[in-house]
Amino acid sequence: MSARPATPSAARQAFGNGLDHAWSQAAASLPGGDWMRQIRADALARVVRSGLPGRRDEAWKYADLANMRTMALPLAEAVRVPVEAKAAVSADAHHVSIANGRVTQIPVPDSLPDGFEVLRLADTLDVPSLWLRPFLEPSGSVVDNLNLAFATDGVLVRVGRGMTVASPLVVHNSASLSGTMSHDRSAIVLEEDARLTLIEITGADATRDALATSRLAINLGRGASLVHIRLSSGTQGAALVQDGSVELAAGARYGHVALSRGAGLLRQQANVRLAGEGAQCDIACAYAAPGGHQVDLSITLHHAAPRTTSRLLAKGIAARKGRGVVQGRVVVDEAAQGTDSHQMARGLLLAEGAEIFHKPELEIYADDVKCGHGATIASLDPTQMFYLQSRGIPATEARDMLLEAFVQQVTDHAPDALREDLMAWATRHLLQKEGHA
Amino acid sequence: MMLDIRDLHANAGNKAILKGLTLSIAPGQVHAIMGPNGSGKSTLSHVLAGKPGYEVTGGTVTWQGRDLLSMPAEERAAAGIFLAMQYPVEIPGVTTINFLRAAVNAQARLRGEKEPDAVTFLRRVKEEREKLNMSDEMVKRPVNVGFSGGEKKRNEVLQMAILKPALAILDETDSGLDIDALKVVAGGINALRAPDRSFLMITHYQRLLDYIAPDFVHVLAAGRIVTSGGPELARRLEAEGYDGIVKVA
Ligand SMILES: Nc1ncnc2c1ncn2[C@@H]1O[C@H](COP(=O)(O)OP(=O)(O)O)[C@@H](O)[C@H]1O
Ligand SMILES: [Mg+2]
Repeated sequence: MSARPATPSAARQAFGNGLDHAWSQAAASLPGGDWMRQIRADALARVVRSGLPGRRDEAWKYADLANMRTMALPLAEAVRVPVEAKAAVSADAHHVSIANGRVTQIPVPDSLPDGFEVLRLADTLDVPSLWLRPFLEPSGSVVDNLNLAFATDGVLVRVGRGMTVASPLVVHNSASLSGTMSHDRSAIVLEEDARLTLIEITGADATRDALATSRLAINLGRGASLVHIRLSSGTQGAALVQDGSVELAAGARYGHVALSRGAGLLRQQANVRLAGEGAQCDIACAYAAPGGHQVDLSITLHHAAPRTTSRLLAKGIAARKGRGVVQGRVVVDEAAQGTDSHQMARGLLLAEGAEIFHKPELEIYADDVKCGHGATIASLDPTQMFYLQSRGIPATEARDMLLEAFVQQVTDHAPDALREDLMAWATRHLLQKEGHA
Repeated sequence: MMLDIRDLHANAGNKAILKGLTLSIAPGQVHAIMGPNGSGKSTLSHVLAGKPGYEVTGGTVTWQGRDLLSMPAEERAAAGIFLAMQYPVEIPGVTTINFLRAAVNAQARLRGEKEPDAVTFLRRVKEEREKLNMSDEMVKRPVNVGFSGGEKKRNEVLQMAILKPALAILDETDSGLDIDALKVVAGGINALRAPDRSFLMITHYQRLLDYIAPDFVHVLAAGRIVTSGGPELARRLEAEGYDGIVKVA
C-alpha cells in the first residue's frame, strides 16, 4: 500500500476509492443472486459513508482499525490452507474447515444425525430465504457491514428442537492474507431445548497489512444450551476481527470460553442479548498479547428480560510492547428485574512497556438488580516467585507455573472433558516463551 | 562445618540490618536463634535462602564448601537448604500436591538424579501428611489459600519432610500455633532429626525449645549475635527477658 494520506477527509476519500476498487474486482465472484447483490451494495455504501472505526469511536477507543493500514485491501484468493488439524481437540467431532473465507471441508449430510444441519452459506444465497434474511440485514456496525458486503462463505448450522448433538462441531478457520482481506459469515441456530458444543479454531497469518473479519450470529431458542469454545491466534501483520452476536430466549444458556493469542490487532466483539426470562451466559476469556500484538475484547451484555444472569471473566497477559483491552458493557433494561451480573477483568503485565486497559460500563434501568464488577492489574508476584524458587523450582519454570495457574482459572469454565486440551493449547500458544521475551 | 557464616553484613532497603554476624553449624546440630522483634532474624533466614531485595555488603557464607551467596535460590534448595517461612505465601491456582511434585522433580534434575515415580511420590506425601494430621483434601487445595496460620505452618513442615533438606531453617514456625498444633509440628521436626541434618530454629519464645531440645542457643540483637550458650540460655531469656541479657552482653 502507498503511504497514508495526510488529512482525515483525504483518508476517507482514499478508503472509499480503495473499497470501490476492491468491490469492482470482487463483486462478480461473490456468491448470491441479485437480491443478495443489492444487500451487499447497501452494506458497502454504509461502510464507505462511515469509514472504518477508529479512536474517535467510543467502542474502538483502544484499537484503531482505521490506523492499521488495513483499509480497502483486495479480497484474498481462495486457497487450501492446511488446517492446524485436530490436535487442538482430541474429542470425536464433526469438522468444518474455512480457508481465506471459503469453506473447504464440511460434513456430508449423511454423516450427521437427523435434525442437525450444517450448510455452506455460499450455497444458500441464490434465492431469497426468509430465515436467512435477518442475518443479512445491514447494521449499525461498520465491521458487520464490511463483512456483509464481502463475505465469501461461512456455515449455517441448525440443531432441531430437543436434540443434543453428542460430538462437538469443530470449525477450523485459517487465513493467510498478506496485503489482502477476507470475510466469512456464519450463523448457528439452536431450536428449543437443543444442545451443541461448538469449537472454533481460528488463525490469521500475515506479514503485512491484512484484515480478516469473521461474523458469527448465534440464536438460542427456549432452554437451548450452547457451549462455545474459541481458540484464536494471529501474527503481527494481521488484523482479525471476530464479531459475534448471541440472542438467548427464555431459559437458554450460553457458555463461552475463549483463548486468544495476539495478532497485530485481535478484536473480539460480541453483543449478547439475554432476551428471555432466566437466560444465562457465562463468558470466560484468557488472552496473551506478546510484543507488537494487541488483543481487544469488547463485550456487551444486554439484560432485556427478568431474572437473567451474566458472568464475564477476562484474564490477560501482556508482554513488553503488547497491549490488552477489556471493555465490558452491561446494559440492564427496565424490564430486566432480578438481573444478576458480574464481571471481573484481571491483567498481568510481564514487563515494562506492557499495557492493559480495563473499561467496565454499567447502564442500569431496573432497580432490583445485582451488578458487580472488579478489575486488577499486576505483575507476577515476586514473593510467589521466591516461594517456588526457594523449593528448588527454577525461575523460568516458576513463572510458567504462575502463568498457567492464571490461565487455568479460565479453562476451568469449560466442560471437564475439554479442559486438558484447552490447557495444552494455552500452554503452547498463550504461554510460549518467545512471546514473552 | 556444614554452614559457616563469617562477619555477615546485609542491607534491606538501604538500611543496615545484619552487622557482622558469625555462626557455624555442624552436621546433626540443632541451633536456636532468639531475639527481640526487628533484630534481623527473618533477614538472616532470607539472606541464607536467597530472597531478592537484600544486599550483602560484607562477609561470607560457605555451605558444604561452596560460596552460598553466589547461588540462585533454587540451587540452594537443591543443595539441601530449606526455609520454613515466617509468612508462607498463598499461590492461587497451584495445588500443594503439584507444587511439591514440581519441587521434588526440579531438585532431582538440578542434582542430576532421577525423578521419583508418581506412585512413590504420592505414597510419601500420604505418609508425611498423616503424621502432621493433614487431610488429603488439604494438599489438593491451592497452596496455602484459605489456610489458617497453623495450617500454613504445617504445610511448611510437610514440604520440609518431603524435600528432606540437609539444613532446615525454621523461621518462627511455632508462632500462631496452639499447644496441640505445636506438639504435632514439633513431632514432625523431631522425626527429621538425623546425624546428617542440621536445624536453625528461629524463635521469639522458649516454648518451642521445650519440645525440640537445641544444642546451642544464640541471642541476636541489632544484627549481631550478642551471646551464645546451651539450652539454659533460653530458659534464662524466658525468666529475665531480652533486656537484661542483651545489656549484659
Ligand atoms: N525491605 C526492607 N526495607 C527496610 N527495612 C526492612 C526491610 N525488611 C526488613 N526491614 C527492617 O529490618 C529489621 C529486621 O527485620 P526482620 O529481619 O524481619 O526482624 P525479625 O525477624 O527479627 O523480627 C526491622 O527493623 C525491619 O523493619
Ligand atoms: Mg521475623
